[in-house]
Amino acid sequence: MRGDPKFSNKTNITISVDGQVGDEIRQYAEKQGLSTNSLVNKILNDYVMFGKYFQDHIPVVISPKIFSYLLGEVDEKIWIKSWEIALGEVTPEVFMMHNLEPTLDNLVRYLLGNIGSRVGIFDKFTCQENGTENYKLVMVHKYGIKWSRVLSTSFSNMFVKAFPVKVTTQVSANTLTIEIQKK
Amino acid sequence: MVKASHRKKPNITIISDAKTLNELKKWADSKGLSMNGLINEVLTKNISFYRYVSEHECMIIPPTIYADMIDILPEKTLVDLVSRIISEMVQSIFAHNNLSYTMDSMVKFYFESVGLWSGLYSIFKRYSDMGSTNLIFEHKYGIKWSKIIAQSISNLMKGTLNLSSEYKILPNTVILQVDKR
Repeated sequence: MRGDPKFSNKTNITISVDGQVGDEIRQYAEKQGLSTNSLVNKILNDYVMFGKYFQDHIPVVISPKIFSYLLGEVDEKIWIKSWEIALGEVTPEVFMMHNLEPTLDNLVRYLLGNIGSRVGIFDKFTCQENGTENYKLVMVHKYGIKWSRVLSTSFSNMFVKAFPVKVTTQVSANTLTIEIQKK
Repeated sequence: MVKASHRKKPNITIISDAKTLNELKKWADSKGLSMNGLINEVLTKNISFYRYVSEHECMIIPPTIYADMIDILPEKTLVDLVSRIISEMVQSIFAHNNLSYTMDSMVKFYFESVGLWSGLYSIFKRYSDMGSTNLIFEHKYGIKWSKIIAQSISNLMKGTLNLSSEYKILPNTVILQVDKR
């Protein structure tokens, strides 16, 4: 198609970028300590990861201040129920969209590891694997103990419903730890 | 926010994996765009909006959860909240881009872009008649959300452009008729 970039090999492409966008991309990359190439790749990968879901579902973007307010105003049980319903809807769709097997490993690494921190439900995520499919997941966020409990309960229930695993959790003000052991 | 530019388009050469490029190609075809057109669209949206989302550590929540919040919280609380969110966002966009407050800039830099991308509504249209500008917002959250959107945007029109408006509310659509000065 006219306007398609030139593929010099399987992975090199040259794109013609609108002037100000190009300038802003370069400045933003510099600010983040990235090369322009790395930043553009990150943006394109994110688009491939989220674009279809975002187009179909139009999720809502809210600031941390507003989210904290909503979290405080709405009962914890309602939050948990709501998250469980959302996870039940989002998870199979994401797997299907990205052609992934619905395995425990994909759930941990892809849904939580890749997507979780990018959509802001936590800020940091670490995963230690101890043996075959035994995981220790640590999530750090800024929303206090209520959010730790909401995430810990909804994620635990999601794992237990989908896989033959035993889950133990530990929550504190801004951190939750989930240990998953295969039965 | 990126403004329209008439400058020559510089080239950027990137190295990307074949899987990502294949996916982008499929997307471009489905939208009737060239790859170059799609990548420009993606980069513009990112630099105009998702950079802000990332820098401010915003949360992106699924619509089902948002729908529950709308059901639970009182309408007046939500009108105050949404009015504040919109007003703060618009002031920030206009200040960062050194824009003057006009209906055209409001439409281009908020209603057609940030407001739409942030999920407050899913379709936006604008048309004008003799004495007024009609702004149409479609969403999927029901009549309560229509009332909230109508009042919040009406407040925005008054607060920023000093324009009065009337609105018609349908379950998933708001028609805001804003007076022309």
